[in-house]
Amino acid sequence: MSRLYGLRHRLYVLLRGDRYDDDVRRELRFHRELDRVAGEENSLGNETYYREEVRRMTLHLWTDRVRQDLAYAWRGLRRAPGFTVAIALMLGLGVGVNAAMYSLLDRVFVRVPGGVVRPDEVRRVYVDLPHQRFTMEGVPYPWVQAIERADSTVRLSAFSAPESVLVRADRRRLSAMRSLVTADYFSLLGVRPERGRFFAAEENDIATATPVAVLSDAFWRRGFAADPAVLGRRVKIGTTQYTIVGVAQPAFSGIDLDAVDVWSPANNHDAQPGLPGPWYTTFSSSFRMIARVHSAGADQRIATVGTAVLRPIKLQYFISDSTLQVLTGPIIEAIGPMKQKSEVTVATRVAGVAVLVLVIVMANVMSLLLLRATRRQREIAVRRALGISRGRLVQQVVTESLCLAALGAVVATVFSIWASRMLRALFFPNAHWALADGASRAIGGLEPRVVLFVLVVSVLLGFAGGLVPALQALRPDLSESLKAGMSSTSYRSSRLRNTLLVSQVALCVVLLTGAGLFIRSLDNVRSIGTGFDGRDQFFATPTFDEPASHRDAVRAAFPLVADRLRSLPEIASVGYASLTPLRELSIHTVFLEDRDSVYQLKGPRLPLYTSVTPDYFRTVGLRLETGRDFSSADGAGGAPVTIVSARAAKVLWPGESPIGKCLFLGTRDAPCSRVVGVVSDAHETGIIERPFSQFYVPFAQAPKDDPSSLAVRARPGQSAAARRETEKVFRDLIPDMSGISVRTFDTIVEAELRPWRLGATLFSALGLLALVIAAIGVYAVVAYGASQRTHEIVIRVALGAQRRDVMDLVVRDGVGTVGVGIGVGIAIALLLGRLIASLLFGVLPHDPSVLIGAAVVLCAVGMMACFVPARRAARLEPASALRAE
Amino acid sequence: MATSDVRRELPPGTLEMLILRTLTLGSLHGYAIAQHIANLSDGVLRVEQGSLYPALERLLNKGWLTAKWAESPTKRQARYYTITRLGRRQLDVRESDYDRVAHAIGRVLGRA
Repeated sequence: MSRLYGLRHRLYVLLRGDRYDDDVRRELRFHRELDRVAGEENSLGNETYYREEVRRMTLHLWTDRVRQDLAYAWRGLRRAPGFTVAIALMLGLGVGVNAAMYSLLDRVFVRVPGGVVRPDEVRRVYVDLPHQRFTMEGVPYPWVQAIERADSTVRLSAFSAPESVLVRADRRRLSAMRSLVTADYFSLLGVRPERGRFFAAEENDIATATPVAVLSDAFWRRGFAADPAVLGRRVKIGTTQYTIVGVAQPAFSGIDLDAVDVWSPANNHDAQPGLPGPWYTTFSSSFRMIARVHSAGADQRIATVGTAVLRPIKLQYFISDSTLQVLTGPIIEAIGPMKQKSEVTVATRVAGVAVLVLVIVMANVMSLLLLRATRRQREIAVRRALGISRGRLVQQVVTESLCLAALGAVVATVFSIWASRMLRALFFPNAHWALADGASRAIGGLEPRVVLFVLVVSVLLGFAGGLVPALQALRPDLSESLKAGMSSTSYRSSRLRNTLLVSQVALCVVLLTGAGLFIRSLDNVRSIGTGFDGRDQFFATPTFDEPASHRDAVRAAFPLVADRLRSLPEIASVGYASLTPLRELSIHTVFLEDRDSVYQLKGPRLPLYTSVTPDYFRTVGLRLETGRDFSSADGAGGAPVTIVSARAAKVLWPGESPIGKCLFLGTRDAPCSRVVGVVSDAHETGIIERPFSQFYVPFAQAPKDDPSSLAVRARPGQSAAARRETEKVFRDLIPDMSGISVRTFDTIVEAELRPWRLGATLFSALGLLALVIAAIGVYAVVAYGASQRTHEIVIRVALGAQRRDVMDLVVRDGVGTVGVGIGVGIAIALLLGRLIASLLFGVLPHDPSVLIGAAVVLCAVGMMACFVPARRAARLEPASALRAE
Repeated sequence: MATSDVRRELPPGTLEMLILRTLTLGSLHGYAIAQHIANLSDGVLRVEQGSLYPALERLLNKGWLTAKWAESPTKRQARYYTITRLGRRQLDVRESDYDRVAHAIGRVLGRA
């Protein structure tokens, strides 16, 4: 412990130099006075000189040592540039990946949205529907209103999820994210306008749309070149002219991960066509609620009051749930009660993987340093014999590894900038990444927190990486090391070295297993049919700057476009429907004869409804299982008919033929609609779903429906020509459309595959990195072993050993260790498998083929790493090798 | 680093050993340490003040001593030095080393 006194003293001199000077001056004065009293001459001489001397000594002791150690370390590192570069790179990649993951997770889980005052008081309010195992984040406006009215002490506000819109300013079109907000939104969060103002009280009146807009600082810069005259300018969003009244403070971009560019009052919500009553009385709106709580009981109060007022509310098209429960959560969405987005879950697992990579890097760096220390045993022994203390020696070795860590930190910083940019784009492409306070924006992508992270981790690694080998190197007996020299020691395998190697190989197996599992999942997901046949098939929709004003024109044009395309040689069939599959869906109430409405039956999930033209099924690749397709005879005047999905038929009329059954769509007193056919099941919401019950009616019998997109099936191999023709025909018939958007099932499905693709990509990339590092590790250890045994090997060769025998000898050691590592790795992979089980699809975390695959890959790589040094050993020329001794 | 007069006369490290030994009596200020060493050695070992303070500083740096301002019997503020546990251990090591060397030298000179 006393050593600490010394350290404390040195720090005191360094940090409180003025006070220390004073100490010395007073002490010397005291001494001189006593001298005078004793009648002796002043033996102190030049006082200033001694003061300086004393002070310099303290500093010298320190700086000299540090300078010496640094010089020594630098010489050592320069002498082995390959070693230095390899370790710096490995440390850099390992730490850099972790820094990038840290910056990502920090943003998602820790960083509160910028610009919000006392964010810990802000709550998100959710509605949980235990019956449906579903937590609603967006709720209909009547609910917001009900909670607001129920308790005046609850400060509540609401905003719509950011949606992508086209903003037209003069002749430019800017794509932007827009959120509609209620009266209190900005003041509840405590956000300030940077310019202009937010919304006035009368502009928040819910019944009358007030076309004003507030821009985010980023959007103001991006779209309007930070023009100070932006206030009062008019921009067009959809069909409405909005007046810009303010710019929000730079730090604020909404409270979700997706950054908001434009805010407008909630009363600009679009009225839903075909629904009775204004939007703010229906189920069709979706707002996220926030509240500010000031007291401890406030959370509970919101939950109790909210639950009490929401339960009795009946809304059309909403399946009421008597167990409904209002919940509150923190302002950071990712730690709230909502089910985590799969991107977030994948991100946390990838972060775990990044940590494993770091452990592998650490093990490898440590074992390389260990080898180096062993190789320098003789040098160390000489230095010790010359009187260097153990402490100094450890200091030197640690300084050296700290130098390596510093080089690694430089690589890590550079690498993390690139990696975090990539990870952000991969995981959360629309998020706002600027720092919380606009003043200290990240410089060149460097965030202070991330740099700090890199530094802390690097220094820790440097210490740990240097200390263990240093202590190991001190252990051997001095005289023996001196006597034995460098090369003739028999190769003693160190337990520590083997442990490090085993752990590297083991963790590498774990990572490769993870990568394999994700790749298998991706494959499995990809091979699920959606029920549709997407080959040679696409959906086309005309696009407009102001879609609403062209509704009638589009309605009128679709049948004509379809007719004209049908006659073209490139095109096999054409149809259209009220919905585009996998993008939109519509839930409808369906009543049966003498039974309750369909959605209250046990078996089927929500009944979905689509109106389709004849030939639509054939065009999108659905099969008619029994009965008939719609025909031109099923028109507006004809008898109402329905086609149901196979799933609906099986659930509603098990064991019976559904043909001829009577359904009532929408209301119980609707005219009876006869089932005329059964069509194969298709996915409606995504790749992974349990089939819904689908009800199809003829488009001609659904006068309220608009065509969503035109489904076109080209003749095999004629897709490109068919697309050109389709666009031409559309342009002929709707001359004022701005363009045409074409989608295929592939592009629709691609978005769904994202989480698995992310997992597969990142696990594979990190797995590969780990594999390379482990290979270097195995190689280094085996090569070292071989070089230590040169003497033994050449003697064996001289005595007649064949190349094969020599190679066996060298390889055996390495392969044994790799084998143990693989075994341990498989065990760990089995244990950790549960953590990613929920992210996998159609493959179990202990899938034997994946485990075997990972083991085989490592085995092969391990063999290679052993083989190279073994071959070199086998080529040794006995005479020259012995002479070199 | 200071090359002091005493170090030219005394074997290296001897002044430190003397200081440590002196401080085993209790906390003392610099002047008192010098006086004590001079008195005990009958004035043979005169510690030049110019080397005393650097030596004290070295010992502080090693953590073998601590220093504290306190009131001297003459009601003056003086800097008192106290030996630490580590200092005592080091003193033991040094003394036994010294004994061995001194004994050996004595034998070589034919006096033991």
